[in-house]
Amino acid sequence: MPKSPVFGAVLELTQLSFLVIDKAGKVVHLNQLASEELGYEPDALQVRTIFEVNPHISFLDWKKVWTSLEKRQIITEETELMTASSVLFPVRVGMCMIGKGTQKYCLYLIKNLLESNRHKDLLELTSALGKIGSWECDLVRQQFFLSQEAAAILGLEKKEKQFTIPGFFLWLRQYIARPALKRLLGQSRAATENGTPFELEIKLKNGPTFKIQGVPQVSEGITAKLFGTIQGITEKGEERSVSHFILENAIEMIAWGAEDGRLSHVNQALCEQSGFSKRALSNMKVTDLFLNLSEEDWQQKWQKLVQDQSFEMEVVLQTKDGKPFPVYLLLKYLQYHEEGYFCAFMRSLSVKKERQELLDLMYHTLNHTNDLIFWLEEDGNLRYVNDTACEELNYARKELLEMDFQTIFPGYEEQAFREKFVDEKFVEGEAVIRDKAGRELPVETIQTHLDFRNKKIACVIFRDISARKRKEKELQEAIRQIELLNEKLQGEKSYLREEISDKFSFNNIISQSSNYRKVLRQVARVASTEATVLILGETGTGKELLARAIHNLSEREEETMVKVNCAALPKHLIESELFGHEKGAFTGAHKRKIGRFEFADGGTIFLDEIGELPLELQSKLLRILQEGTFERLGSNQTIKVDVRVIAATNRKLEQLVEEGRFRQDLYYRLNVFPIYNIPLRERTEDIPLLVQYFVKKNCEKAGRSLLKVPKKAVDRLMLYPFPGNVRELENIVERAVILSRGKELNLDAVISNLSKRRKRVQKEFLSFEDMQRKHILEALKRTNWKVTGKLSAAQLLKMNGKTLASKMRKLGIRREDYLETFTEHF
Amino acid sequence: MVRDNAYEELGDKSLQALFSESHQHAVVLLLVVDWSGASHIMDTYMEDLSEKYGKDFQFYWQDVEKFDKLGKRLEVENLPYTFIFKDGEIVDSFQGILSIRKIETRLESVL
Repeated sequence: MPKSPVFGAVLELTQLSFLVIDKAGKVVHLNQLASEELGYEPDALQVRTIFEVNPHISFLDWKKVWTSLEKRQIITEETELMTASSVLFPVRVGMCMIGKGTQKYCLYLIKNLLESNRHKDLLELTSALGKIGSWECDLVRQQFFLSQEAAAILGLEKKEKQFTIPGFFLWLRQYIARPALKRLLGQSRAATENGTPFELEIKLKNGPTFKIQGVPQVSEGITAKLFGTIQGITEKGEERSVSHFILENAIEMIAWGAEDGRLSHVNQALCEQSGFSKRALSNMKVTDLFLNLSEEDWQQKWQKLVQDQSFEMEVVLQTKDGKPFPVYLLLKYLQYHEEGYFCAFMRSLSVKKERQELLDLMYHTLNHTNDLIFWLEEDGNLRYVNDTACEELNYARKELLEMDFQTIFPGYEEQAFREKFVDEKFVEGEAVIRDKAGRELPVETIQTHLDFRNKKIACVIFRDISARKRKEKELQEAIRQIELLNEKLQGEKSYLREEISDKFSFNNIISQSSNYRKVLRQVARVASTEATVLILGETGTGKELLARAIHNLSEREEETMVKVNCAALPKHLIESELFGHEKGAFTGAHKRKIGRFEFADGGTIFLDEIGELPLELQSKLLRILQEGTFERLGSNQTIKVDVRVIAATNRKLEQLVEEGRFRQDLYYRLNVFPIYNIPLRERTEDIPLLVQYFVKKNCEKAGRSLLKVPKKAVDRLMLYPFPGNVRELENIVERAVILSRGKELNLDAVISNLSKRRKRVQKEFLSFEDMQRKHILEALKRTNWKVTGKLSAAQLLKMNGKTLASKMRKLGIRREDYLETFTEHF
Repeated sequence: MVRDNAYEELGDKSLQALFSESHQHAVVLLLVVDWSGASHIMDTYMEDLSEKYGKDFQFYWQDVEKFDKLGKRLEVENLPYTFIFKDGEIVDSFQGILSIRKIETRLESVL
């Protein structure tokens, strides 16, 4: 037996049982633990052999063991040893040789397997009953171990329980869904990197749910191993899990605890709002959690809670960062296993405040909207009116709530209202409401029927539509204006067509007559003014040509010139033509008509044959000339226009005035700038030119080559007085062009007709008055309009000068009426 | 100050003379024909305008049937025709009648 005290001390420190046996199998030493386990007194065993302690070994076996030990082998085995009281117990033994030479011994180390196996049995039993398996992930060896129970919980068929780590996850992939696997991998990685434990619930594909917990084993800052448990979740467990989940994830902050105020559980919401971790909160008491809550206060609250079972209060939560957080607290008293608990439900007061704000905003909106809002009950009583209604109708709220709804809403019928309550949910329309002063306001009505806490309520909204109505009216007026303009446009088209034709072109003014040149000078000079022009002259002298020239040379040339032939229009239609009429103004007035003065607004109106204008319309024309205003037939609306008037007549207006057929004031208004268009017989030098011009024009029109005009024929035409003036000449030439054969213009047939007509005209018997007028005029012409004195007409006529002057007045002979003389002095 | 004879018949004055004259003052030339009413109207306008613009312009008229050379040189086909010369070149021209206001605008733009 070695005597080294160090060796002995070391052996004692191992906390292992051991024996020291010699070659013969005799126990030479046993330590305290071995003596306790085997039940021998140390001295008593020293007299025994190994064969007594281990009945499963013979002397021969021992010889073989000794030989092996001598070869420096270490032997381990599981066997049974017998106690002093003859009880066998399982052990694992380890044997080795100690000492040297003749002092060699076998060190017989004993590990009692009885305790270890018991633990193992208990563990297996616990595993089976609690459905808990274990696992281990050795990060150093890259191995994954799964206990049998764990494999069973997972329902895995695979018999292998040891994998490489990647192999395990690959294998596991066929049993759990990818997101769950991803979560598991994530948590494992976090546990490895941060050294934090994890807990997950994972549902197997088409199988039950299990809970996996993992704990890292950290050594010198490095995670060497992860291990943990896998636990199957039963239906009840799942319910509990769900409840736990709900509790954890509730929006409200929840905590509970016992009478002493210590918090035994808190949910996630409380952690988040307070900023404290679960662990920190579980070490806190309600007095730590709420500001200004002393132990004494809590005791009073607890008593109250026990008595009332629940109560509410507003408290201020103490957050980790020191910011006070006002909450609404509901405390409930619970009794569990004879123990009393409090359960605290907390909700942020800011949410309540937000709701209040929302409510305030709703009321504010209701009261400040532009709409008038009324809530009526089924019996027709007003329940609510908004501020707008009070303001708009000028009533106090109390007055409105007490009055009959019909007072402000004359269209309201109680019976119909009730029927609508039953039949319709939503009614809309237009109506009129009345304010306190009786003023009416057009409104759009929206009536909504609601069921509110078993009562029927009607929400009646009146929307002021007076602005809309005004706009509608404006729109209608705009549409009317557009229609008017459209009509005007249609009307103007015909005038424009006339304007663009070359009938009245400047190029058609052919003259080398000095008398006519004076007329043109007048036209040129008056054109640029705004003066009213009266063109006088016989029929066919080209008055319209001059009128259009004046318009085209005026500032109004861009606008339209509207022509009205007062003689051509039926008397009963002329007013309507000139001034327009409204629909229904007279029988047959099926629609509104724009008058020609309106068409001419901004431009010029040419009133041809003004002498034929009925007397009753002359005053209306006078008003336009003076004020520029008139009314359509059948309308009271005064229309203002800016129209330049050019009038023309072949009548002697002065005479018409004297006869009372033409208003004198109108005559003066029209006669601002008279232009006397001379007859063709007073510009005979133009006849050859005009003949040439008309021949060319008519040949082109007929598509034939230009005809030669014989001088003889023209000379004969120059003797003809042309009562129809240029128009007559044009007609004659046109007729001659048609009748001519060959290369010359044949005027013979036409001229012979003219001769007959002239004779016929000459043969016409003149009245005495006309004869006198003609004779006096001839005398005046010969004397160059000298009425009295030497070489005067009176002398020629052998009359007294005053008598002649009086006669001239009576016969309406005025020098200015005879252009030839007048224009020479203009 | 308006020149004497600010509006007169061009007579046998050559086109070259007009170009030369236009270096001293702008020149307005109205080509007319005696039988044309439009020519008479333009003649009236030129007469009136010469009184207003005679300080800055010399106005001429010419009957192209009497002096057809000028009309041919200026390739005039329709009458009346108005040319405005300045600094030795034709700066504006127009055919037919314009209102007096429009002619004034054309003259003003040359000044």
